[in-house]
Amino acid sequence: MPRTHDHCTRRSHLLSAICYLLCAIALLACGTPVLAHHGGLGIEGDLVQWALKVDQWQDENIAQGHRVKFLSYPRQPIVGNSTRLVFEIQSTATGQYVSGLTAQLEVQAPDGSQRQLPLPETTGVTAYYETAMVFKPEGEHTITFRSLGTAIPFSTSFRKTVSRSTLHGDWPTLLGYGTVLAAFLVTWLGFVVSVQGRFATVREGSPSGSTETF
Amino acid sequence: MQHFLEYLATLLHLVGMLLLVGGHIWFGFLTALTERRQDRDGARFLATQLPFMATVFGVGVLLLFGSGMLRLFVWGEPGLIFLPDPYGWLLLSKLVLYMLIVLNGVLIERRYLPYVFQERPRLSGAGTELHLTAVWSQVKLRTRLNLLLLLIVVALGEALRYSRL
Repeated sequence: MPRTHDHCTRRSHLLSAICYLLCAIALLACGTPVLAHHGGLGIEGDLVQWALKVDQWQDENIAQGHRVKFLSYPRQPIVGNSTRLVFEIQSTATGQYVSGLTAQLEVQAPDGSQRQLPLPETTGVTAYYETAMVFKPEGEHTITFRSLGTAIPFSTSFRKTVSRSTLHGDWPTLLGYGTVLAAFLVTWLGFVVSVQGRFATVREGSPSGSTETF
Repeated sequence: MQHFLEYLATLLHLVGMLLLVGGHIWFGFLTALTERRQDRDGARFLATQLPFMATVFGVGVLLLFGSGMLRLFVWGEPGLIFLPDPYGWLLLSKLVLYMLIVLNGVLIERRYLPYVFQERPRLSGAGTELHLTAVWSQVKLRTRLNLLLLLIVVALGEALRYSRL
């Protein structure tokens, strides 16, 4: 009898714990703050930013008291396709966004060739500097943001790997595709097995035939 | 159109969660209740409803997976699940757990569901009646495991809202 009582107590504790967990999840869901970002990405029709309500900077460096955030869109540049390169500049001392810079972009290809592009500030979005470029050779490119202003010139570099196609990407991309494919296959397997089970006859015998004791 | 698809995917995801997670919570709660009260008739009633519940859970799985994929395709970023950002790792964890849940569900449906009941001669000797077998315990155990995994997936889904791409 005492053992049964202990058993019931443990079960009621378990149920209480599950209730607390569900309450905590509900509270988290209701109390989640919106992670707003100044000005958004400024990419028209960018549903990633719109849907996730978070910023999506892929890299950032500090240079001469400036925080330089960087992203490319699409994230994985493809040879021959246009890729948007976006930078955001912020002062590390004051936290203010820095506009009015005369910026330039230097892109060094894996074969050593260099290209320079002007990096104008995006109209209507403070401290956003953006350009689009078509990457030619495959491999890791060095992308250098350079401010040529009269105040404090600074520069910082980022690395970006350019692929032949979306299916010849880096390991995170391939892992992503592989996982989604595996999930699809498992779902398909489950669906087929479930439908088959509806029409299959029950085989003779069972894995365990004894009756259950409560 | 894209906004509509995003809204539709969210709605279907919620309906899928109601069916799959809600169904597992209720099933777990009711089986725990029948055990606690030693309610053999209640357990038999739940066991007879298993095929219907399996169908409901299956529809929930399809809704969750379909709506999740729809959202990924609507966002349309190469790489799909946003690795190697924290968001991507959380999504990867969700997908791996989702696969475990589906495989566990397949196992329950194929290996155990057909054998929950066993025909036995009546005590009076006239005809036969259905008895719950030990397989019922396995069904309960594995369904609770699925419930645990589902709660972790829900928690990971909430964590996605905090992760920054």
